[in-house]
Amino acid sequence: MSASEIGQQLINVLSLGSTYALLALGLALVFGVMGLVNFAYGELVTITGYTMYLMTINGVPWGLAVVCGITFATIASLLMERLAFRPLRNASFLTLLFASFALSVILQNVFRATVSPRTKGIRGPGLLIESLQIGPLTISWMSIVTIVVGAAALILLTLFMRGSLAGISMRAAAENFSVARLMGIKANRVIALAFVISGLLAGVAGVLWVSRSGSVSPAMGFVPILKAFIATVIGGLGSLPGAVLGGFVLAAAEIFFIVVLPTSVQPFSDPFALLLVIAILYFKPNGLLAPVAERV
Amino acid sequence: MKKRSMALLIALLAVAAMAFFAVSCGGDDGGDDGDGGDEAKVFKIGYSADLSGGYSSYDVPIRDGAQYAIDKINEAGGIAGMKLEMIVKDNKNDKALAVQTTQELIDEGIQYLIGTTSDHVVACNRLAQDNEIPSDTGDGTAPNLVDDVGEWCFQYIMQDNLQGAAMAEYCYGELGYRTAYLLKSPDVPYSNNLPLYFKDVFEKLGGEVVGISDYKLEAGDFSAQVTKIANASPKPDMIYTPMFMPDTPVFLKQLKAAGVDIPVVTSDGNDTPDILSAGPKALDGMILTTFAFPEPGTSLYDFYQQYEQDKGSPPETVIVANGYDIILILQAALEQTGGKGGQALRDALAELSGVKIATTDNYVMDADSRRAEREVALLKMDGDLFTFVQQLPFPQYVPAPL
Amino acid sequence: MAVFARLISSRFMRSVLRTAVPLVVVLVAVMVVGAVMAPDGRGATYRLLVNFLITVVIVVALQMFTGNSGIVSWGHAAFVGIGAYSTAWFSVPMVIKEDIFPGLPAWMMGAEWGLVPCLLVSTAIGALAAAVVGLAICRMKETAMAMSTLGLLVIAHGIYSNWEGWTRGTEGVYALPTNTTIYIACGFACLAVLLAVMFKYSRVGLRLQASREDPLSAESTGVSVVRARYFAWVASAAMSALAGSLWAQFNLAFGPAQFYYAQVFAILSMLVIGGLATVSGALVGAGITTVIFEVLRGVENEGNLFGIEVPQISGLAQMILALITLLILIFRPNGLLAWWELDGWIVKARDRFWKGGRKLAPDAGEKGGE
Repeated sequence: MSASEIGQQLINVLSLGSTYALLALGLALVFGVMGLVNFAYGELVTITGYTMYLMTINGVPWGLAVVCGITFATIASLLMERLAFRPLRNASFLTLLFASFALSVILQNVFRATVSPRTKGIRGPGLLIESLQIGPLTISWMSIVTIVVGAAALILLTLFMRGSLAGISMRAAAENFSVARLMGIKANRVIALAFVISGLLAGVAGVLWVSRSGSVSPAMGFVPILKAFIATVIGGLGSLPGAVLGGFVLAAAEIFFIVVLPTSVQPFSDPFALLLVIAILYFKPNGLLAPVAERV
Repeated sequence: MKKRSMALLIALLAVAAMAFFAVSCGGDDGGDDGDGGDEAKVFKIGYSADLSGGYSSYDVPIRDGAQYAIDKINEAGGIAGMKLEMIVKDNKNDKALAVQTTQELIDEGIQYLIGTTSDHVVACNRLAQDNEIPSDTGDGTAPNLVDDVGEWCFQYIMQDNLQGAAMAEYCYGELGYRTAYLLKSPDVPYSNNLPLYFKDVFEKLGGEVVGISDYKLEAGDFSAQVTKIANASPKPDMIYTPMFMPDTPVFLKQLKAAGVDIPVVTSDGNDTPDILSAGPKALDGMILTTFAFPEPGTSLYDFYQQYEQDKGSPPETVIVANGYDIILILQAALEQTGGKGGQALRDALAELSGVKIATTDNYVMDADSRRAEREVALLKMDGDLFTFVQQLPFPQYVPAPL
Repeated sequence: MAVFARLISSRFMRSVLRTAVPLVVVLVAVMVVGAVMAPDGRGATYRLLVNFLITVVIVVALQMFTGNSGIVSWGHAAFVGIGAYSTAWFSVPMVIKEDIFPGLPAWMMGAEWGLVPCLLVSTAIGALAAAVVGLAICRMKETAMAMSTLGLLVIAHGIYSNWEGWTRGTEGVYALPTNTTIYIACGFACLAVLLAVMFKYSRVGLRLQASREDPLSAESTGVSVVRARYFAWVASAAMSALAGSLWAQFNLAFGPAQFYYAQVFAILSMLVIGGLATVSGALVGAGITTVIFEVLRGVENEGNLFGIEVPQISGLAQMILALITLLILIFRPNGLLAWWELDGWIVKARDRFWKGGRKLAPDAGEKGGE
C-alpha cells in the first residue's frame, strides 16, 4: 500500500470517526445523567434526514433544510424526554432500555406510514461531491466538512461543559446524580438539557450522515445507534471523553478491517466489533478508559 | 368451588374460541370480497410482491404494469370468456412472509404466480410448482432462478449472463477498454454472479481484471472501496458493478468526491429514476445495459404513448413494461389453451414464440432452458438523462449460468 | 435424587397443577378450534393458530429466563434461529442441500430426518450454544448482561447473514418439510407451559426470583445467583431452539431477518404486555399480540378492517404494538396480569362476583421468595 493510500484511509478514519464520535457523545450524555441507553436516539438521525428530505423536495434551500433538520431533532429529543422518559424516571435500567426500544419502533413506523416505506434519495449541494488535490492526496469536500464540523462541535461542547454553569452541573450529574442533586442541581433541568444537547449532536451527525449516504429510509437510524452504542461501550458507558475515543477507535477498526482483511471475512466485522463489546463488558464493564477521571 | 371454576373455565374457553372465529372470519372476508360473482369465469393471478422493502423499486412497477394490462384485457372482454384478476400481497422482502403469502394465494385459488424480484422467488415459485401452478421470475434476471425452481418456472426477461457478456464485448470491442475493476456483493446472486459473467467474457477476449472488491448491500458508506479503486495499479480503464438501489447514488457520489474519473459500467438494476438523486455530475457518462428503451419506432415507444394517454403520465421505468409483458405473454398462452390452466398452460408457455409484446416484437421462449431469448439495450447517462446508445448484438459467447 | 424428591413434594405439585391446568385448557381449546375449522390442515386460520401455539413456546421460553431473573434478554431470538438452522441442516432434501449448504460435511449432507430427530438435535445444539455463551454472559452484572444479549443478537444475525456455506447468507433457506401439525404444536405448547410453571415453583426458580428482587440479599443468604441464572439461561435457550425447530418445520422457508429486531421486539412486547413475572402473562400477551397483528395486517395489506375499507397504512401493526407496550410500561409496569397467574385471577374474579371482594394474597413463590 502506498503512502498516499495510507494518507487517504487515515482521512477516511478521521471523517467516519468524527461522525461516530458525535453520535456516541449524544448517547453517552443521556446515559450519564439518566442511566438510559436511549435506543430511540437513532431515530433523531432519521428525523433530521426526513426533515431535510421533505424540505429539499419542496424547494427549500439546502442550508435552511440543514438548520431545520437539526432544530427538529433537538425538539424531538426534548419531546421524547417529556412524553416517554419523564414518566419512567424512577424505572429500572431495563424498563428504560425497553421503553426506548418501543419508542424507536413507533417512530420508525410513523415514517413508514406517513412518508413511504421505501428509500428516498436526497440531493445535496454540488460542493460535497467535489474534491481537493493536496500533493498526492485527493480529499473530498465531504470529508473536510465532516472533520471540520465534527471538530467544531467537539470544541464547542468542551467549552460549554467546562465554562458554563449548566455544563458543569451536567458533568456533576453525570458523575454522581444523587450527590449532584444534594448540591442543589435541579434534576429536571439537567436531564432536559442533556436531551437537548443529545438531540443537537444527533442532528449535526444526522446532517453529515444523510449528506454522505444521500438517502433516507424509515430504518436508517439503526446503523447510527448501533455504532454509537459500540463506541460508548468501548469508551465506557457515560464517559464523555471515552465516547469520543470509542468513536475514533471504532472507525479506525472498521477501515482497517476493510483494507487488511480478505473480502470473504469482511462481513464479519460487525459481529466482531460486538464480540469485542461483550468482552469489554465482561472484563472492564466501565470501559477501556475506566480508571481515568472524567473530563471533557 | 369446583363447579364455579369449571364454569369459568368453560366461559374462558368460549371467549377464546369466539375471538379466534371473529379474527379468522374477518380475515376471510378480506380475502374473498374481491371475487364478485362467478368463480369459474375468473382466472386468478397471484403476486407476492415486495411493496415496501428494498425490492419495491422493482416489484411496484411490475405490479402497476401487470394491473394495467389486466384492466385493458378485461375491458376488451377478457380471454376465452374469462376475466383476469390479480391478487397482490406485500411480502416486505421477508422470506417467511413471502412463503406464507404465497401459500395464502394458493389457498385462494390462483392459477398463475408472478415472481417477486428478490431471492425469495425460488421458495415461493417452488411452492407454486408443488401445486402445479406455473410462474415466472418477475423482474429477476439471474439465470439460475429457473433451474433452482424447476419445470414450472419461466424467465421472460433478459438474463444476467447475457447482459454481462454483451457489455464485456462492447467494452472491449467498441470502447477499447483493456483493464477493469470489479465491485460485487456476495449478498444476492445478481450482484455476485453478474460481475463474474462479465469477467469470464472480458478475460476470454484478452482483457484484464485488475482488482475485485466486495461490498455489503445497503452499507451506506463505500469510501474504503472507493479508496482502493482510486489507488488500483495499473489504473483500470473502467469499473464494472451491478450495484443497484439504494446503493448506487451513494457510491457514485463518493467516487466523484474522491476525484476518480474512471467510467462506471453497470446493469439494469439502475434503470430506474430512483438513481437520479446522485445528481447529474456524478451520473454523467455512466453506461448500463437494460431490457429496452422507448426509441421512436419501437413497440416500447408505442406502449409509452398508450400508457401516457391512459394514465396521464408515461411509465416511470421500463420495468412497468416488463410487468405489462408478463400478462401479455400469459394472455398469448391462455388463448392457445382456451383458458385452461395447469399442465396445459405450462406447456403453452414453454413453446410460445413470435409474440409481440411491449419490449420486443418477437418474443421467443426456449423450451429447454425455460429462458426467453432476449436482446440487450445499451444506455448512457447524459447528465441526469437516460439516453439510448444502441441495441447490443447477441454476444458471440454466453457463459453458462452459475 | 433427594433434592429431586423434595421438589416433587405434594405442595409443589399442587401449585404446579393449579397454575398449569387453566393454561393447558386454553391451549387445547385453540387446538380444537383449529382442528374443527380446518380438518385438512390448510387455510389462513389454521396457519394463524399453529403459529400462535409455536409463539407460545417461544414466549414461555423467554419468560422462564426473563420472568424469573428479571433480566431482559434480547438474545433469545438467536437461539430460535439456531433451532431453525439446525433443523434445515438435517431435514432439507439432499439434492437441494448440495446447492444451498455447500459447506456441510458429508454425513450431514445425507441426513433427511423427520420431526422428532430434528427437534432433538436442534434442542441439543441450542442448549450447547447457550451453555458456552452463558459461561461469560451469566457472570456479568444485570445491566452489562442485558447489553451483552443485545450484542449476542447482532453477532448471531451477522453469522446467519454471512456464513455462506452453512446458512446461505441473507438469501435464506427453503424446502423444509412440513412436519409440524396443530396437534404437535399444541402438545409442545402445553409441555412448555408445564415446564415453565414447574421451574417457577422449583427451588432454582424461587432462588432466581429472590435474586430478581434483590441480588445482594439473595447472594447473602447463600443463593448462588450466577448458577441459578446459568441454569435458567440454558434451559430457556434450549426451549427457544426447540420452538425454532417447530417453527421452521411449519413455515417452509426463512432467512436471517426472521431472528432479528422485529421479532425480538414482538416477543418482548408480548411478555411486557402480559406481565413478565407469570407464565400466564406470557400466554395472554402472545394471544393479545397475535390478535392485534392479525387484525391490523388486513389494514396494512388490503386496507381492510373487519371488512370495512380503511386507508392502507404500512407499519401500522408494529406501531400500535409499540405504542401499547410503551403505555403499559408507563401505566402498568408489571403487565396486565402483574403478579398473579391465571388461576389467581379466576379466583379473584369469582370472589368479586359471588362473594363480594375477599382480598386475595399472592401465591407463595410469587413476588419473590418463599
